[in-house]
Amino acid sequence: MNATTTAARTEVVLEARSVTKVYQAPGGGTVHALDDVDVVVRRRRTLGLVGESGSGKTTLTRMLLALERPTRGDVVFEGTPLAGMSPTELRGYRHGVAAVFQNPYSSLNPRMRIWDAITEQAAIEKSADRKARRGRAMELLELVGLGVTAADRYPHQLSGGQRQRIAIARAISSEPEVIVLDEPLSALDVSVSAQIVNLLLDLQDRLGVTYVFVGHDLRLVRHLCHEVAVMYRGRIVEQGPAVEVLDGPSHHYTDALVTASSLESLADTDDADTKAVPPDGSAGCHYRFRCSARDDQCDTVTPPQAIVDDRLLRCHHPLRVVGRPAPAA
Amino acid sequence: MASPLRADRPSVARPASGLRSRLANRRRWKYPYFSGGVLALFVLSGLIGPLVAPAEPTGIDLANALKPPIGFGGSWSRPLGTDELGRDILSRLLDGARVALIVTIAAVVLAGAVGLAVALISGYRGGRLDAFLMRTTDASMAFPVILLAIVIVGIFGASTLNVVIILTVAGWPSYARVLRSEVLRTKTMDYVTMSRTMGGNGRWAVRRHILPNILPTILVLVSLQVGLAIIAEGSLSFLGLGVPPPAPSWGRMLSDGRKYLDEAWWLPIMPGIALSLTVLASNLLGDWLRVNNDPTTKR
Amino acid sequence: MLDVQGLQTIYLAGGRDPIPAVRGIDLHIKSGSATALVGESGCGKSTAALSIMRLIRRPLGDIVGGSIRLDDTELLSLSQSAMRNVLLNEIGYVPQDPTVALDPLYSVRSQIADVCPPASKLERDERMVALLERLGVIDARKRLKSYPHEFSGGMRQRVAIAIALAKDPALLIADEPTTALDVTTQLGILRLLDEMRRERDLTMLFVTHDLAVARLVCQEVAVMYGGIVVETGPIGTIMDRPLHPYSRALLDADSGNAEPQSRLRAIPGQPPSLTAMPAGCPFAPRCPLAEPACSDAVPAVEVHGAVKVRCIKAGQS
Repeated sequence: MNATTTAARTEVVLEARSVTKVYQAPGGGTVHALDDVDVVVRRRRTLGLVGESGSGKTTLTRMLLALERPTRGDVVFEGTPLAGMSPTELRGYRHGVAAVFQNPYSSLNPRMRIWDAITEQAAIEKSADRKARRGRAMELLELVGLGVTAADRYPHQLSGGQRQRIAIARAISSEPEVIVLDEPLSALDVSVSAQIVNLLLDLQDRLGVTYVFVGHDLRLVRHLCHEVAVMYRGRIVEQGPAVEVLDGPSHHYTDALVTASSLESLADTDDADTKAVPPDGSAGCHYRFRCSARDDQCDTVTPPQAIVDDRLLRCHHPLRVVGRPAPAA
Repeated sequence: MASPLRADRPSVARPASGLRSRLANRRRWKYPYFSGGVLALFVLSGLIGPLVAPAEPTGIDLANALKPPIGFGGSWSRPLGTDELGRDILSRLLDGARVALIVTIAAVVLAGAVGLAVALISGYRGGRLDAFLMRTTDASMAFPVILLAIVIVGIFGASTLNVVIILTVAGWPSYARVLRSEVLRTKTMDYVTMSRTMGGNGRWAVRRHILPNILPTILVLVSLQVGLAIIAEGSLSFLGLGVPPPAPSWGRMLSDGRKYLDEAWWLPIMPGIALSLTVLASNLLGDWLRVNNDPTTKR
Repeated sequence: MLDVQGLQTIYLAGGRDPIPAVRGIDLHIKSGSATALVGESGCGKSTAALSIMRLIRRPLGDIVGGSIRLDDTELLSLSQSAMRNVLLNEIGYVPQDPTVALDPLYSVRSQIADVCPPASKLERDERMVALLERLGVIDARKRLKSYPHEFSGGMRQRVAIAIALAKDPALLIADEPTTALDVTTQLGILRLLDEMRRERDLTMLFVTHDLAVARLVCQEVAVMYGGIVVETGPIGTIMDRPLHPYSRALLDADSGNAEPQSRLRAIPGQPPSLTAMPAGCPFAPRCPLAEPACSDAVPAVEVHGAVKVRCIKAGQS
């Protein structure tokens, strides 16, 4: 809103600009996995991406990891757009943006020793010899709280929690700016996931790394993330500081998610799967079939992105205007 | 307080013992004694057979024709008996092993190489290339091997090389189909996706991730195909389409010996046993390899 | 009413020694009420649930001790066919992943009809439609002919619940029924289970790893670790004032109540594997309060009001 606020905002390290991704459905027709998505990731902060199945958050991570190219729009890393990057710049991208996936059992090659898996990137680039890679692997193992004896083991000899630590070690091996974590705790036991949460927080402090954290557990997202972007059927419906958005949602879907995640009572259920679903690529608000504030405008006009300070919202009838609750209907 | 269980059920499981459990636990045998031993014998015969054979495999000795084997009235100089031309059966078996070995290895290796290449290209690239290659594979599988053999031998004559060609053409589709599904399974694993985020290209993924993880399947396939190739070679020889005389071949020995089943049973039975044992051994080895190569079922 | 006492179940693994998975647990579920069986992987909760249905059989494993009473029947003394009868008529099972629990080759109608009590085809269809509509399946009559893959995850779970309830069971066992579902769908399914329990006076065993989910549907909870129940009692009491260090660790690990960005109170290590179970209290190796006496023997049950706990340091911090 004013100069102080702008200066206080940390710089943008990674962003998606108007990213749209359309797939061809096998039986004909299209699937708009992402629809005009704008996401901003700021240095040393954690951005949470929340949404349910079909929200497009996985597709968005694939865009951010340059595994696929958007149909329209682009991803920009430290000011340089992904499209048109030279091979050298692309290599820099692959160093700067790393990944940790959900499944600790399929993210490690069962036939590769741990030290080999952690330093695979160096092997791909031929930038270090075996000895150097082993040494680096030992350092990384200590950083993630594992003993160096793990270096020569195979994945099946380690537990799920240990494997996730290895995945994190692998991600930080190139000293990345950004780590994209796709539901990294969902497959872990409760008591183990708490350890990994602490590890992630420690690493952020020590290494100054930025996280993009995809999760479905809003309690966890509120705990870990500075900012959160809520996705619904390929669109970002709300984005802003995590505690503000999750404690005082403006979008009805965010509200439904928060209520459902709080597990406080069985009342007020959305009964989501009993509702209809809008046809792909159609105009209007995608959430209208589940929304109590639905009207004709919602049916025909796609809500535009309204940006006020650091809040983004796509809704014709928000629950509250930023900072103030919505006026009584 | 707790009511007792039925009396006929033991309260604690007894640890298994005896032959039955040993058989059930064969998966935990550290070394494949039987199958490895038989196959080693097979390879050894193929390699040094001619050196240890008691006689010339093609040495005709009509005076000593149809002599029975040891234990049935024969002598140690001809341990497995002689055939209708007086040729020593053991020596012919050893020589036949050599032929079988060469043909089998060549066919399996070549068929395996072609099948693996097709599987990798088809599975990893996907799309229309995959569809085309798979239809080709289906077509090849549908074509009867014997017919193919008759055509090739009819046009080009019988020879060791032609046998190898026939077996290769007949064998590669099995590799291609099985290995393709393995490639598909491995391709979608997160660790392959991971290597792409680290800048690894397709060749890296195939070399470092896909090949090592389909290796166990390749080994099992090869050991099973060895058995099939031996049978195929034997069948071709039996029909007269195999390696031409005077080189001995187990299949032809079987075929020629058939008419002597009543008066000189050892003529067809000996090569029959040799064939059966070798094929059985190769199948058992394949089973052992499958279990022992999987890090999760290994002891 | 379900009354389990001293249940012991082992797994058999070829020539090796038998592996104890459930090492003497007690569960008492009053008629019409729901108890949660809460624990992490390897604690034995799923094995316990399967044991109650006597689905753990040789050569995979065996029930080697204890008693399971469903109303007046001792399930462990039943013959195989009698037990099958009980499973068919008295016990309903809701699985974790409806995608693999429903047979893709059969229509929904035939899968539910399999477990309906004998009646004319028309009557059965009416029952099924009524049940599916009650469970929130829209267009139930038409969807009866559909196949599982034509449904979304939440809908499939509703079909699975229909299969479990069509037989009008006395006992419902739900094994992590909402773990595979989106959070907004989850709430709908949980509410459904709660309503069904009330309407039909069901006795319910709810297996889960999530205490917060359990609290919504269950009145009592049994916390399992390393094959034994470490704490059991009214769920509200235990969540407000956990007596066992493991229960407290589970609650601490839930980030919902912590300050954002703060470090969680995490316990080191991971749950013990079945083949390497520690002597004495299975939680001792990770427990912040452990002392040498903890490893001497599995702690005996202590009663603290409505809560039973196995810990010599119960309630201390």
